[in-house]
Amino acid sequence: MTSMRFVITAVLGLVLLTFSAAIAVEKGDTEVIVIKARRIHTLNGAPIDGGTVVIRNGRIEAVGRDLAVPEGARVIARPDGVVTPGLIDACCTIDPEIPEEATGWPFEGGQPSLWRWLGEYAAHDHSDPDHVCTPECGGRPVSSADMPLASATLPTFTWTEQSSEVTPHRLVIDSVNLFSNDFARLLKGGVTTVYVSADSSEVIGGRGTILKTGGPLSERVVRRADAVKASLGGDPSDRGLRNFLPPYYGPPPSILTRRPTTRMGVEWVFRKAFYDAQRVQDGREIYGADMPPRQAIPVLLQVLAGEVPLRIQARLQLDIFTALRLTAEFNLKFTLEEATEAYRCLPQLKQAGVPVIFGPLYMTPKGFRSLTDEVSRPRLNSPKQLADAGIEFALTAQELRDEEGLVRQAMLAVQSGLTPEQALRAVTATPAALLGLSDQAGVVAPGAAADLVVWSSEPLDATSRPLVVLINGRVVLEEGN
Amino acid sequence: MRSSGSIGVSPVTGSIGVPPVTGSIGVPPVRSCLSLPIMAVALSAVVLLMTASANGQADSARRVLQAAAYVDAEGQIAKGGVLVIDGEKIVQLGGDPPADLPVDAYPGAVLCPGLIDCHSALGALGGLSERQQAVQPRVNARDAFDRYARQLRLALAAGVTTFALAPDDRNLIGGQMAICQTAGPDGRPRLLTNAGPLKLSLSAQTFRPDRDPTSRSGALGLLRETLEVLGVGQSSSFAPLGDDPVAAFAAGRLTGFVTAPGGADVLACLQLAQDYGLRLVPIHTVDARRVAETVAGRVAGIVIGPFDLTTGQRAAVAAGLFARHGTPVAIAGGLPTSPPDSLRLAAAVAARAGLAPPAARRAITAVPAELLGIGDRVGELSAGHQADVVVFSGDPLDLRSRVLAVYVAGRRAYWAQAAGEQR
Amino acid sequence: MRSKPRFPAFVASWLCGFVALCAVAQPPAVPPEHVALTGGHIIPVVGAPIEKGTVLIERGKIVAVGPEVEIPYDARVVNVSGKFVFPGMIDVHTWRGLDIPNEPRPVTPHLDAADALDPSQLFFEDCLRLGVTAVHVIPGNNAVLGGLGRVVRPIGLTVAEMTIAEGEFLKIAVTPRAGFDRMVQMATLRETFLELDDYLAKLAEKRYEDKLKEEDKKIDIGPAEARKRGRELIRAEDVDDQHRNVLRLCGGQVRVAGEAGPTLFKPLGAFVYCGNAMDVGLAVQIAKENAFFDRTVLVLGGECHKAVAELKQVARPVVLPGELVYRETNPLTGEVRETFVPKKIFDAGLLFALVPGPDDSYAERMLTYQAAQCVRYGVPRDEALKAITLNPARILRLDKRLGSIEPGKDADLVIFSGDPLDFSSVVEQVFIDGILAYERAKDVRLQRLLSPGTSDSTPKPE
Repeated sequence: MTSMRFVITAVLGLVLLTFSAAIAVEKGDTEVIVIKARRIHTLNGAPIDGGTVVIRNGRIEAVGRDLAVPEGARVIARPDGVVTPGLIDACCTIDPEIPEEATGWPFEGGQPSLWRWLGEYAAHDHSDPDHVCTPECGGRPVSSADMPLASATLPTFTWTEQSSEVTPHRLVIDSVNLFSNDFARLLKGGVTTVYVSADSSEVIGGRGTILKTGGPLSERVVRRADAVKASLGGDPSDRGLRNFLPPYYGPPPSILTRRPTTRMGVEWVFRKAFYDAQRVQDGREIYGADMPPRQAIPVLLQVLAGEVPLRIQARLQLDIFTALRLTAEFNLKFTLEEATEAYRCLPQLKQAGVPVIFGPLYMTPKGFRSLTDEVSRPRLNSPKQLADAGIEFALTAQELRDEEGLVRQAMLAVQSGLTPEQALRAVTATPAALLGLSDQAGVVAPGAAADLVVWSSEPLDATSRPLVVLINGRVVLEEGN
Repeated sequence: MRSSGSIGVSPVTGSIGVPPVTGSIGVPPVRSCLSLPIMAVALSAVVLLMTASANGQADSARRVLQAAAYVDAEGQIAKGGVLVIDGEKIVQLGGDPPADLPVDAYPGAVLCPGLIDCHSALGALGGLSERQQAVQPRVNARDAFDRYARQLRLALAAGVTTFALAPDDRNLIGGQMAICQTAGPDGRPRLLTNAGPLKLSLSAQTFRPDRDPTSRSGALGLLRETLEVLGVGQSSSFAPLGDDPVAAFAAGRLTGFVTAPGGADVLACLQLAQDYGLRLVPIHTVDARRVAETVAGRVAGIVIGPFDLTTGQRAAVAAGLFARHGTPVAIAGGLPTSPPDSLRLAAAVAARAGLAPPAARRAITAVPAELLGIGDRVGELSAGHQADVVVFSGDPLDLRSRVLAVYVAGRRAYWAQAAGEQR
Repeated sequence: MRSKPRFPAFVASWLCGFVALCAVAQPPAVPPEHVALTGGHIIPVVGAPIEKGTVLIERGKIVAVGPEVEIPYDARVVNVSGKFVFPGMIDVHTWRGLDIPNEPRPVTPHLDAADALDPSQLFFEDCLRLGVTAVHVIPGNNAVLGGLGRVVRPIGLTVAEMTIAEGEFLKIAVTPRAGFDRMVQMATLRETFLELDDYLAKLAEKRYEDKLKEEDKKIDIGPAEARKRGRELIRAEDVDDQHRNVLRLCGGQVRVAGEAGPTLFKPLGAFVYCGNAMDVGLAVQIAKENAFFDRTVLVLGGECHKAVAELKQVARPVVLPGELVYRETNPLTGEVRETFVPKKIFDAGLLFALVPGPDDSYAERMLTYQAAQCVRYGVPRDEALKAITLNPARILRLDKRLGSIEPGKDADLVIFSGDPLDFSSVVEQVFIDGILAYERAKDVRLQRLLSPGTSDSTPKPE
């Protein structure tokens, strides 16, 4: 009897095993997907008309014309579609979307995300009686008489670290909310990989992170800790004038909260940090009120050794020159972010070999930068000027989305002089190279990760939209046929 | 004259014994009145005998509780509520009770383990967050415990027998929780243990503009630094006296209750637990939908709540979602900010929104006990557990049920009939 | 085969230079008699596009359009080969151009946008830059009954020069203004119309009394009868300006005690702002109760796409909001649902017009980009182009003059460097009434945004 029972359980077990094996085969990484479209922009040679992409195990296996379709493959055929690599935003900010209950946000009409609140609040003239506030503004009209509101009613937390101006030991990924709806918005705009950068409230801020905008949680983080971000110019000192957001609100810092209040101070903090790191390396003591935190020293030493990259945000020509000077003093290589006035220092940037992550393009500046005085001399054709000077540059939308998102930034750049090929490269292959993901992302070539977007027409047309988006060979967005 | 054997010192950590009531106060002996001291001695002897006998009576009490049904170990309501108590413990559940014991009969009632609120500020005197620094590992909530607070009586009358007094959400490491009871062997509220779980918080209230940390990246960085400093064996900058709770937490020996309101906070908890081998329980999670699946199997349990009748759908379904994916769910009452009945109410709201009723009953009894580390002593009606029993007039999840009596450590600490509260 | 008498190039450039100064042209007293735009790809909006054709303009009006058009010998010929010729676009609803959008008072029907129009505003310069040749300036949404609008060209030194047509629409808002609620809003609206009836009744009575006085007679009948008889005696000059426009809104015909009297004025229409879906019903109700339903245009907010069935039934023309995508967050799951409003409106068969997007946007400010977005989500190209040209002209009742390239219409034309819906195309020239009003090459402000940095001194870094 027991042997009979044993046989039955063994048979059942075997059946179960085969079932589960079959299921494992059906879904997951062993799936083969074939995409057929009107045109493929490979960024690795000329575009292919009437081409096919074969994807296996999350990677691109083959790209070309008239490729054989493997058996059992799922075919995505979009006869009018245009395929590009997933777009890469090299200097993104993710909306943290703190849950309502966590903030005690007092306004009616829904919880605005703090980042969007700041951007929208600054953009709208709330004293304009014709302005109808949306939930993004805070849910009800806030007149200028209401500002500044009592500290108890505004959120007093920040998502940026302000305990010190030198925090390269902090990680931006700790403040990223992987569940934020912002990722879905990015995905709908065709962006598959983002570099999330620290914001500009510290002189030397935290280390950025590279994330995918969709797919399972376990595959979202591409790189946990990347470049250290330094900010020059008015931002660190503007934000330091007040201890919490929104800017220009709140009590001034006390003597116990020393912060740089001028550009001179910002430069001083930057130099002191690296100088003190070098002193520590030489075995000497460091002292003084503006000492960097001791946890920062090891990271600064890694930056000095070139093991950890450095990015510097600077808008004005003055600040870009300061960046060049400071980095020359410490023999550092860096990448320039935002660079609104890069057009005024093209020869210097070219000579120093500094890559530029430029953006966003705007007619009217929005968000925090609109509250600074650093955006009064933009140039619409900056990307073209950078391209003509032979400087390696990527385009970024930073916190802008939808009609001002990354693909539209490329579209705007084309209107002011860039060729479509240059613009597409600036949002795919070039940012991939700047992030150290050269052959893995930003190209449609065998071996690269299968991050692809199928657009309804040429991607930089005003009439195009993403139809299908894949990340790591998984379809994460698909419009019905 | 108090019947307790100590004055002002917790019986757990050691009692000082009965102070002498006679003598040495300096009454000059009267040559001719020897009767006075003799009378005094006789009086005190009588008093001592009475107190002794009273104590003895309490100590050697055995009784039977009899009701129609009881809540079993799975949270189901099982027929036949017969419980035999000996001293502070339950010795027998179900079956036939010994015949010669006094019986407390509650016809038609349901016996329930004493309700446990695993995160509250009950009986706290003064604030529960020391805000100078974000990391306060040596702070112990027991030092804020006021045994004479009136709230404790109200909580007892609502059926809450055990609760964890927790530092609040405003510090990164707020301190160590203290596990207390609303009554004891002598009928008074008492501290069960001061070695409760460590309280941490990743909520937005932790971020302050005037001290570290000011953001989540700072909070997590600071937390990691604190853990790593302990990991490499360096003494922490906080006085290393005796048993360092953070060291125990870092070694995975002490549970940490972490306030994690958003999905991102929960993910951060999971990452920390994975990186450092910690035992974490997220509490006050609001973003349940997104994390329910991820959390399954990776945390010791999760604490939801507090709820009340105005709790939105979004929060109420959280309990059911987590339970569906196999995570043990406990419900916090949030006393005394919430009314005393809120623990049961929260369980009922959760049950209405999708948590299975047996799980809902366990969420306010067995699971919080487990998470607080006292699951071997309280939280269930079974032989060997402490006799903390609440007698409800019906299903505890039914809002129409009333509390008829509450037993803590074998002693009937509350009796609705005597208190004149019977309808 | 085409005879093309050409003016010497220098004369042409001299004329261009003369008329285009700092991007805002001063129209000379007399426009050139004949202007011919030759060789361009013409998109007339009505009818098929013409790949290579000519538009002949005579005294500010289009007289001929076609692949082969006979050009008079004295015509100024502008060669636009390789370019696209498109009708001037129309911004059908904006408060820009006024100094403030609304008066603080809720009911101000006597106000006229023309009194506050400021021809020097940068807004009008931007209109030219973006190819908008007609703007309907009307008070904003933050009132109950605002004032009268006016359709203007973005060129001219005085309001009279700018005016294309006298105001024909009053502004009404059903969505409550800031700080108030709908009950008060609707009550104020109804009160206004009731007050008009009251006023007319009293006026009728007074006129009858005056007539009797003239004839030296004594009053011999009761007030009700006096009003009825006095009804016919009301003259246009009797109605004061506080009530004139409201009377015009109700049709311009005097009605006393429900009975019709003389028609004194030309009727006015109304642009009714409905910010939320529920406001559509209220707007229709007010319009029907007061006899201006047939002259109503509904200005929609984003949420109004939910009332598309009602809008379809009502079948009035609609003006869409500047933000074309309406977003809602599910409070339970946190998911965001997006609706592309124009597609829904188009599918319901409504006549709709697009307006430019938010002022601080880059691409959405361009009406062509708004149309391109519609095409993106499935609206046919021709309908999208109509929504920025002919439809607004129809809504403003100026479709005999504006909105397409057809003989007899005003010569408001935009020359694009490429297809209008192609974002890399730019507005190169704008003609208004046959006058060259804008030239991109001479647009100093725009050229500055496209200039290199070497014009400023570039110090060497240390």
